[in-house]
Amino acid sequence: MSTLFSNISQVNPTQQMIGNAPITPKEAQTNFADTLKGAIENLNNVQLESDKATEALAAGNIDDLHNVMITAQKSSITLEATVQIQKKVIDAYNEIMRMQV
Amino acid sequence: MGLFSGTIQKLEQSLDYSSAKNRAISTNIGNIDTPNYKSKDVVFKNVLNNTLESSFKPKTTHSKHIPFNQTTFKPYQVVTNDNTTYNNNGNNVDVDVEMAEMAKNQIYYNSLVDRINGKFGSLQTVLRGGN
Repeated sequence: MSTLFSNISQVNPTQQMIGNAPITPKEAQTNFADTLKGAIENLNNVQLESDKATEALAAGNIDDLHNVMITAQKSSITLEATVQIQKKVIDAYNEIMRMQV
Repeated sequence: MGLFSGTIQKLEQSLDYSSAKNRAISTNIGNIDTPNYKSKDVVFKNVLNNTLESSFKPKTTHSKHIPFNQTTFKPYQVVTNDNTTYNNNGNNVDVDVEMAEMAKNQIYYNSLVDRINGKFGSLQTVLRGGN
């Protein structure tokens, strides 16, 4: 999980509140945006790595088949996790939109 | 839009090659007792081009000269091994080699199918948004 979303701890506001001054809304927004950006960049990197391994397999210059399969599964699981988190974020947004103020 | 470009295209071509290779091996095994039959092999075209280019490079001194390596749409090429004879009847099929090649090709084909399945699966996962 640490490699999946290595900077996910930045999202947790309670960690940042302890000890120092409370962060401003702008900082919180930038933190959140950076976290998402980092996660998507990480997903892209994993996918590119998987593509590279797959193309090496097709060209026939790999040493071990299991490495290709493991890289592929890792990229697939990362993608699945990202899509599920996106779903949860959209659900949360909809929930807030429906709230009575 | 290029939905199926890049790796998927390469996988498709590799699967074409693998299936052609399987056909060639089947033909070889089927013709194991045919007199004067020479075993066939399938090679990737770009591999062949690379070796050709490194051994003898054709010179074109005019822009209207016909290029040496004609472009075809197949990524592979069937070559016949005419140089050897293992049998008195001119046949040169080695069963052990063919069987080993077939096993190798089967593993290659299966892994390619697995990978292209994975690629299509990820595309569908993204399109369905995790549902």
